[in-house]
Amino acid sequence: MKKFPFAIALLLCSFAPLHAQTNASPAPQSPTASAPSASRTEVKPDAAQLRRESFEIVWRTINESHFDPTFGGVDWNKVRADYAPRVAAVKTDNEFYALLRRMIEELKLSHFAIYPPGAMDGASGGSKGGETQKKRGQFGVDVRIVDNQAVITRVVPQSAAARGGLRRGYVITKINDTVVSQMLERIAKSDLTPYYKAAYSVGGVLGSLSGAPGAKVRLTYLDEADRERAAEFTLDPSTDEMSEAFGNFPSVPTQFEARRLENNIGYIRFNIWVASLVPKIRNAVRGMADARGLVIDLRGNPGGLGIMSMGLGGLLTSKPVSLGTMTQRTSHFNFIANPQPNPFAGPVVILVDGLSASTSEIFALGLQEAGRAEVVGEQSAGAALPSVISKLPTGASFQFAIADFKTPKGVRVEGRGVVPDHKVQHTRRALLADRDSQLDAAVERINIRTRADAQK
Amino acid sequence: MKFIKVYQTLASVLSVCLIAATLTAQTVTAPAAAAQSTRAQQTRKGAKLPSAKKIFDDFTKATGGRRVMGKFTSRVSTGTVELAPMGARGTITITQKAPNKLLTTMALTGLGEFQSGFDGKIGWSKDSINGLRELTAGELSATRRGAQFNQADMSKMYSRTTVTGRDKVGDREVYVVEAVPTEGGAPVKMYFDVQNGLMLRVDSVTESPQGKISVQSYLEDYRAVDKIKMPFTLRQVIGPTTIIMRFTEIKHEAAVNDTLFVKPAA
Repeated sequence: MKKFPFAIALLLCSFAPLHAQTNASPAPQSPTASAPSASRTEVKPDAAQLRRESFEIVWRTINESHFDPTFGGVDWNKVRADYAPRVAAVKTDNEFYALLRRMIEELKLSHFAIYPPGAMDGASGGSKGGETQKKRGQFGVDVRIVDNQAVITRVVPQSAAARGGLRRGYVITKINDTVVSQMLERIAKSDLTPYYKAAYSVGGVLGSLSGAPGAKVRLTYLDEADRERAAEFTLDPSTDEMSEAFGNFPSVPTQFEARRLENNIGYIRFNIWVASLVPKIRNAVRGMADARGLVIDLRGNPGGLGIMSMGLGGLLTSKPVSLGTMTQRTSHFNFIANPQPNPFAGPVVILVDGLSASTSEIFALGLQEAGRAEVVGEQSAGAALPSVISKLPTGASFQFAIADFKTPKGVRVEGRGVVPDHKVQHTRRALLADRDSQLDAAVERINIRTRADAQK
Repeated sequence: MKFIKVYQTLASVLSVCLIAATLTAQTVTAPAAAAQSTRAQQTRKGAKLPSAKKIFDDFTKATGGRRVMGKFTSRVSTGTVELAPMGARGTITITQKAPNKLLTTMALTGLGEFQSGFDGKIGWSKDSINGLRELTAGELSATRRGAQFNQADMSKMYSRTTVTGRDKVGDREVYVVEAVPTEGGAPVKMYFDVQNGLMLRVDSVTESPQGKISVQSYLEDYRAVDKIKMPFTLRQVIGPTTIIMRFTEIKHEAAVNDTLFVKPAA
């Protein structure tokens, strides 16, 4: 495994995400690993005290502010009684973090996590807002697990992967010394939720393909004729532009794509909801004003700043639309997309998959329920609890949900996700034919809608 | 006092733009604040309580008195804002002008600029992500109330007031006054220092299409500016969230153009 824990990816969004689907995704931890791969921390004289304080903060924060005062049926006082003595017994910070994780996992909710010191810094690779990610290499593919295989779904033009002849539909079987099938099998057998399994699987492959610029990656793969081939690739410097950090929400690599598809249909894709992408998204939507329809591709988008779901929604609606309500113990906040000047009026299709989480789900489900957009693809992650990240006395980061979230019709996103209006899965055959079945279906939905509108 | 009311309104406005928008900052100080809140429910039975009018008058005197407050027609306050312990930081500027104009501008690093304003009639908010919207319902009422520059007579702002008892805010003894705004809306609970008359805390609930927001505002670090005492720190607790505003400079009678407060073009 690479030195970067999967936890880094989880930190990319304070609002939600459990996985950042980027070409430079860090390697995940094995699901069998007990803790992220932070270097072992020597016990300092006051380490035990810092751990006790951190434990108290974590337990107390949840006890006093968890949106569900019943804790979902979990006896939170008993949890404290069970875990406090064990805190006193741990010998290292890593053991302590593993223990804290087990404690918060008692809630069985997304968006509760403990990240070791430095994990967030790893997300930025030492880069700052506006810069490219200097210390990360780029291989240049995206993958999904199709029929239990790691199949390439996207190849970045001119990337190392593209230059090396990799194509959509090729199956990655081995990366350096990692046999992909074994990794996927190990994850599949774990007790992780479907979302985590998907995230760890894809993250594991992409993480294994990451490294510093100039690093060599030995790859074995199956081509279009299922012939096993092997090649060595050299990672390029990443071209991802970094977002600006927002408090404990670190600077993260961003990807943005806007183009016109055939028949004048607009297409916008971005990998994470961060403020630095707002101008690009806004300009792209407004630039598509004359398009027959608009496809917003949120596949693999793990979420980010929740406020942006309202902002983008406002670019797509001529009247206020509620995307849902975030509920705390004594307050609730409505996510209302207020119309922006000259909103896009044509049909909108949103693409999601099992790695679309949090803000992506709130946005997609809200517009779907409001009848403003159709959703195409695969059921999303079902991980949509508003959360924040705070620092603990030990230096670790503590992410916790601060509210529940339901749509205007009362649908709870957590644990359910977005159910597409039109379920479409990737197939290797289509990918080998250089087709994206999900995108094709989205385009078809727009064609159907525009034909229907023309007949009215 | 007027300054405090502005802060009180600001609390609601900021609550909306920060909480409903950025989905809040969490603070480990929130539990402590919650504990204070619990203590504040306790009252001392048998103690004779002053009237609400007397408490309001004492507060007016404590902050400088009607005559001093009436001297000024504008104020510009600048400082920093922190969403703790999420670690987000930024700057804040509050511009006020008599009789009832208000503009708050907050710039958060990594997120962008948030503005809210009231020109005497129309309340609005604008930010770099959501664009422009006009305030309505409770949000507008709270903004209108807080935009009153001269608020020397607090009694007129509330149709009904009740002194519910004595309690503590931190280690300070306080009187607790529950007041119903004249223009309607949820009651506001105010906590005044028994010894020096200063307002130390305000609990408010604002309802609007944006939601229902319960805010505990702690007014701290009072200092005199042109003989008016003002809290240089405002700490707002909204559920598990704390927003801390620390003002570094407050200027009176700065030149302020009325157009500053007008709802901008989208």
